[in-house]
Amino acid sequence: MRYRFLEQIKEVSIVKIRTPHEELEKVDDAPIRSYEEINEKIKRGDVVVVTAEEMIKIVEEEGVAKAAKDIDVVTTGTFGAMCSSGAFLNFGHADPPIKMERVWLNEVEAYHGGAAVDCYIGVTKMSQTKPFKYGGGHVIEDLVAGKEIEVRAIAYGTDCYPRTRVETTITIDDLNQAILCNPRNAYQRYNAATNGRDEVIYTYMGKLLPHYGNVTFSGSGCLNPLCNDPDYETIGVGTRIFLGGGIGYVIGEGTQHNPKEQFGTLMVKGDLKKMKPRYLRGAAFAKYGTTMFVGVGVPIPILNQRLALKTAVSDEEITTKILDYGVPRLQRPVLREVTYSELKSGRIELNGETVKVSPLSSISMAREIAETLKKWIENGEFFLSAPVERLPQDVVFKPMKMTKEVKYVKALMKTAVTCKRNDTIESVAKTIISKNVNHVVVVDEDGKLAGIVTSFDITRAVAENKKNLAEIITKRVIFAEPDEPVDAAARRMKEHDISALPVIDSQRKVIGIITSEDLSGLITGG
Amino acid sequence: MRMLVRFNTDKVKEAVTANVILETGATINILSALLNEKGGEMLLEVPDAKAEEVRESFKRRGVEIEDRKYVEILRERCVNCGLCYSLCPVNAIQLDTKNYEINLTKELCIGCFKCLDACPVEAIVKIK
Repeated sequence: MRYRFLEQIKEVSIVKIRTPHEELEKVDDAPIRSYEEINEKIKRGDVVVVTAEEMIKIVEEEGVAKAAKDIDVVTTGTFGAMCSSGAFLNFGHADPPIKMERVWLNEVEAYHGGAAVDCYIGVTKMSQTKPFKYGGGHVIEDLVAGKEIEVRAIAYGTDCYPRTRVETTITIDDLNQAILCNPRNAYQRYNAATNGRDEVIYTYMGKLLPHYGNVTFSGSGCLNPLCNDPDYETIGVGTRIFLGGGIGYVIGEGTQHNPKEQFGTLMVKGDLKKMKPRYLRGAAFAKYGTTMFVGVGVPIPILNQRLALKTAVSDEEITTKILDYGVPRLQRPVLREVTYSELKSGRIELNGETVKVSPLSSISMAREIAETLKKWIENGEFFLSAPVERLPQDVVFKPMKMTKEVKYVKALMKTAVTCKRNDTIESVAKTIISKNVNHVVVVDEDGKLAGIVTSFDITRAVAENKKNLAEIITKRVIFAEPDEPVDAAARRMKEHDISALPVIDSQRKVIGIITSEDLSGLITGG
Repeated sequence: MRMLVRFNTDKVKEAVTANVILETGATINILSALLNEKGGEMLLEVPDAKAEEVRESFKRRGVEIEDRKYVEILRERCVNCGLCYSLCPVNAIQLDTKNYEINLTKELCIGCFKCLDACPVEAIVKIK
């Protein structure tokens, strides 16, 4: 709603992770150790591993040169809701065989566009019987936990695959392959969210209270894998990682990888059969949908002093922006820049008020993952792999190309039929008939919004024998602004179960009205 | 003690709280109030000694006080993300910024249930 902020934004966000550049120039670039040497040490059992949090203190106290000399590997970790996740499953063939056309696991539909009995279960797909409660992420968690899953599939039948229906119960052990394959995980860092509207909103960033009442943020800051290797020197195609409690691999840059703005992402895969439900947790965000908490940990080999310095990045040096998610647009207003250190403290200053900040990722789980990976390496259970290709550093993340014009409220609004507070009920009733409208907007002397009266209100006033217009006016009016996209206005009408919104300018003057009839025929939000 | 008072459309127009204060002499502190002409709710801090008197006074004026219910965090389900923490109006849910664990002080919970639908892993439940 607060579109005036839009003018203040120029670009989505260009926030740099502050690596102490002068320091970076000072450090010695010479190679200290190789992957082979590190793996030899792992085999011998004398490898030195610390977590990214421990590394900060070590570099601070011992200096970069000594830290680089002493430490072989730094482990990272993150445990957050990662919507771009899912798993490839292969069921094996039925007898007689079926070429599945549509397939459901615990009533959650899986994507099936491949061969007969392959499918991809995505975490945001919701159950048909328990939407917003149970989804693909829960199916994956249940699979990993060894629980039984109801499988149902339909098909049109072919000469080679005559079967048209199958219903069965499976566990993960019955599958030939169960491969977690996540197109976008482990964001380098992410925007923090707040809400400037006068109502609670439910977003993928959690429940946001009205009037900037709280802030949520994602990621684990100094523990985030890509924050510790911001130039992708060691994390690339083929990097072996901790994934969901098992072993996985980076298979490339993730979708929406945005290296120039330090919003890098990873595409990862791993054997679901070896993962643990503790690190893959189905999640449901009220009124938003389902997703999954994914645990990812990446080891960073300290190949040179530069990497020692980079892995010592602290929360104070990692910044992001707090955006107003109350504005349902691609470019959301930026309220302020903030460090992960401030965010992780649980409270920040926003518009002169102290506001509570909720992490969306579990920092304690992120730590546990970094610690677990450290133990695996120390115990000789996990070896490092050199990437066969680096992640791209020059790709850009573009918005969707729009070939059809977006419709705004001002293009669809009509002239509002208005009345004054001291008009009589009879005169408003006459206006409703003569102008053939259902809504009359109440304005004050300056033409500012003062209320709304519907034809139903008039009918009720007659039935209840009310004489005074002031008694039946709805004073708290849900309104629209001229520069709002029609979709946003339509969604608000649906949310509040109303059929018209007065359109007001920045001075609250009524400049029109938009009704659900004006919107019918257009795509409405939902 | 803390009480959640709910006003309907009729009662919100009357000076109920003021009259309760005048009658009981209780130094009621309004911690939060979400009210409009259609009604709403108010969270009050009432001195323990006056609690029963205040409850009775509200009742006589036709305003009900919600029985205090609490939430509980199911430890085996909680992932300690912290989403619930910033929604709690009375700081019953605390985020320990050392270990990043969520702690609930049941005695402070006033049963507003703002946290209930914010938990992504159904780790918060109502208890009677």
